[in-house]
Amino acid sequence: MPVFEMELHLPVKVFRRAPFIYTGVDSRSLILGAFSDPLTNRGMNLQRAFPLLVSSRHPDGRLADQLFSLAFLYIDDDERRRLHLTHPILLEGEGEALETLLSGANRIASTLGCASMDIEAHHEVLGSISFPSSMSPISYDLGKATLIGLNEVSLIKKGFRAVEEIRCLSADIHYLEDRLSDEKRSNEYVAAASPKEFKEIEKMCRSLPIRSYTLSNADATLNPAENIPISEGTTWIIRRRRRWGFGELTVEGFMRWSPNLFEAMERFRTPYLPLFQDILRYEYRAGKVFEWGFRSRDKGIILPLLSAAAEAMKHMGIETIQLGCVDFRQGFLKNLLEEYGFKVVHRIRLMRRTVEH
Amino acid sequence: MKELDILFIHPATHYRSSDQDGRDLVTFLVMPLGTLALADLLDRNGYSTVVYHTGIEQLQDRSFKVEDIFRLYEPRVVGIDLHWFVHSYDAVRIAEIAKHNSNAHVVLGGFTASYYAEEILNRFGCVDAIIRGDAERPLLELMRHLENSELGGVPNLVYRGRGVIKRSRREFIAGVDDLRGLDYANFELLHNRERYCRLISQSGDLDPHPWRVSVKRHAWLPLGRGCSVDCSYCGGGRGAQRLITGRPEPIYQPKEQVLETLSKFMEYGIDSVYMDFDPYPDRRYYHELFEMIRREGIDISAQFLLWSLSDRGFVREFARTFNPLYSTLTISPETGSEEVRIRNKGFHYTNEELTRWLEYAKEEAVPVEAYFSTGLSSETPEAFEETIRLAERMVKRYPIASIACNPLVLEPGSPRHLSPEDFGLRIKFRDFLDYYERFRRLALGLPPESRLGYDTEWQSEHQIIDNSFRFNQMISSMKEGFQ
Ligand code: SF4
Repeated sequence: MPVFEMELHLPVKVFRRAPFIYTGVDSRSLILGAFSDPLTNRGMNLQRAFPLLVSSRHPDGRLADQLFSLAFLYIDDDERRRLHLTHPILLEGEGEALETLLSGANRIASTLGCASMDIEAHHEVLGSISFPSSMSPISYDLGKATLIGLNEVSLIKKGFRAVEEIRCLSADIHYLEDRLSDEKRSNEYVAAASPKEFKEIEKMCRSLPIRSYTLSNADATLNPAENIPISEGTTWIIRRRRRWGFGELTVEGFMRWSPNLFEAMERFRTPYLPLFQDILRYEYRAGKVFEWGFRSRDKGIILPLLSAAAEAMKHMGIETIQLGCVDFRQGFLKNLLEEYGFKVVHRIRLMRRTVEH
Repeated sequence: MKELDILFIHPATHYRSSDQDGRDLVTFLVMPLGTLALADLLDRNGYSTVVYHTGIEQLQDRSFKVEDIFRLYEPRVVGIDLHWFVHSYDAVRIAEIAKHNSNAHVVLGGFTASYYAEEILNRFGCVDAIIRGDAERPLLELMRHLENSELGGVPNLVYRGRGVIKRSRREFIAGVDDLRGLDYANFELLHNRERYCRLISQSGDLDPHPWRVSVKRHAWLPLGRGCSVDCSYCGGGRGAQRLITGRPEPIYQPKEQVLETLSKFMEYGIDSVYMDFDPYPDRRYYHELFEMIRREGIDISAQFLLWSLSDRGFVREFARTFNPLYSTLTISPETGSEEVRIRNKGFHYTNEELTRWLEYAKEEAVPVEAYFSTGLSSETPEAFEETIRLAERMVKRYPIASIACNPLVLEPGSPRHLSPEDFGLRIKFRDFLDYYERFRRLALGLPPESRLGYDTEWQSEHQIIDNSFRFNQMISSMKEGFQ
């Protein structure tokens, strides 16, 4: 029986085994080898990121890396601390080291006074999943990542339960455009927002009642959408005139999309988003709506935005459109998208275990 | 107690914290590259060898004392590295402890010890000998000659013989063939080795931000010795090399050996190597080395310090070769003023050339670390404003991962130390004792008489220190650029 040990270490081989894009706020310090973004809670600065590496010890004393998961501490909307583990990456072996990873993470969660320890499990991955592929700041290129097989039944036996399912849907952009053009829609008030314009209405957009899933609104720095830069033509806003107002327009919905930066990563060879230059200059096969929000379940809000985003993507030669961060409570959106040719291609299950103190 | 032929001790620099508890802290944790190679050379020649790093020991166990080592081992020779002047006090302090607690012959080596060999032996009776310059063959011969006390035959040795300081007649300058046989990665000989690579990547207990978690393992990669130019402030340039080691021109480590070292580093789980040897701007050696690294499939990150600006091809090759997770290119323009740069830097360039190079880095998506300094010769307060303006522009427009400005400390053997008047300096550190005293006061928590060791014709020491504060404050207040 091999002996496993856990330490805090992000070895370079993780980037080769599971190429990723980092969307955290502390890219600059990670390049230099440190996570520096603290979580400030109850007057304390707490370590936010925990790169969990489990290795087995050879008889000659050397260590062989087995499993890696990046864990993040965050505060949920009810002010509880939670430890979020990304799907473990298999570096060597068969994944027998999972138990060591979980008990090590549990110790950290307990020390930090977390209510739970959660695992982000990529439950179903069909075909190529566009960037971003996670609700954490580390998005793996799932087509290449050597993810460990996470058996849900055995996780349940270990005390976990599924608390969320987040879906990503994908469609052929030409088919979608054909379907959308069959319908008569007014897109009078759909307009692209410049980075400056979006900054001004960002708060309003993020307070719309129907929104893309995020781990926490109270502690938003983990949310990839917060740190993905806005390029021209990638953010669309729909406004409507208030019935009782005089010409005043209100934001009814928005969508932000990104070309599939995993494709660009082959050129840029870097995990750091701020180093990607002029991303819209390159050709992409896919694009993804990664952040969205609507005032109501109104097709008249959703479809014009989708159409505008799809058109902008098509203009760049993109063939596949994806829309992510749809949680399981948003069946209406899934059904609507399926009507227009979308299929679920990616499911993330959030498995949660209460931490005993 | 175990008998040992040679015990190497790396003296981490101590300082007493200025907060109320006045704790004893350690800094400058990196060992000179050659220490492990020397230990390995002796080990392979049949001498029992152990390497201790006092900083690592202290971080591992707060109650650690150097005396503890002598309760475990009875060494014939104690070798202490005094390469960088920051270890001046601690190296001598450890020599005293070694003399007090053992019958060992105490030998010092490294640039600072070499430069001040006679003075150290004259002043400190606890030091028996100093190896000047390259130490490989001299140390082996010292081990052999110790029995018959015929130290005059040991090359590069300055020693005390019957109360008189003597210099051996023979000279040894390591050539490529001498370097070929060295193993810089025998971490097995280092006590508490697992902590070493991790701790040198961060400032250890000194880090005031415990939430900054260091996630990489880092090691220094030996690539050669020497330099082809003289920067005014550097104690390792061409002139200093001639003076201290006798080396007339730089030599590279054989490429096959570098590959072997890298492979060993990978086995030890090292993620990133520090490459600080770049004496010729043509960089043919590196183009070939990078090609070999790619062919061998070595997967490691690198922090490469460019001593002069490179062409775009080099930036691209670098990006293709190393794992991008922790890879950076480092440049040291030192100043924003072209005039000041010409006066002080052996490899100088215009700001336009620098901007062009930064464009290459941006286009190739390679993050850059940039270092400036203050206290340069001819640097007026106005010239320092140019430094601030250049740094601001760089942070706003280019992928700068780290940028800092340090006040220059006077280095022994540097052109400014050797001929201060020529560089407009009034120096306060001249002798070894000045450096020893500077770091003794630091270790005891006493205010220093001088931190940098000089004023210039254009700025006082106080102004120079203030410049660097202002620079670093300005940078940390900047929100723009690459976050
Ligand atoms: S380039 Fe300048 S600073 Fe670097 S080693 Fe040579 S003389 Fe010293």
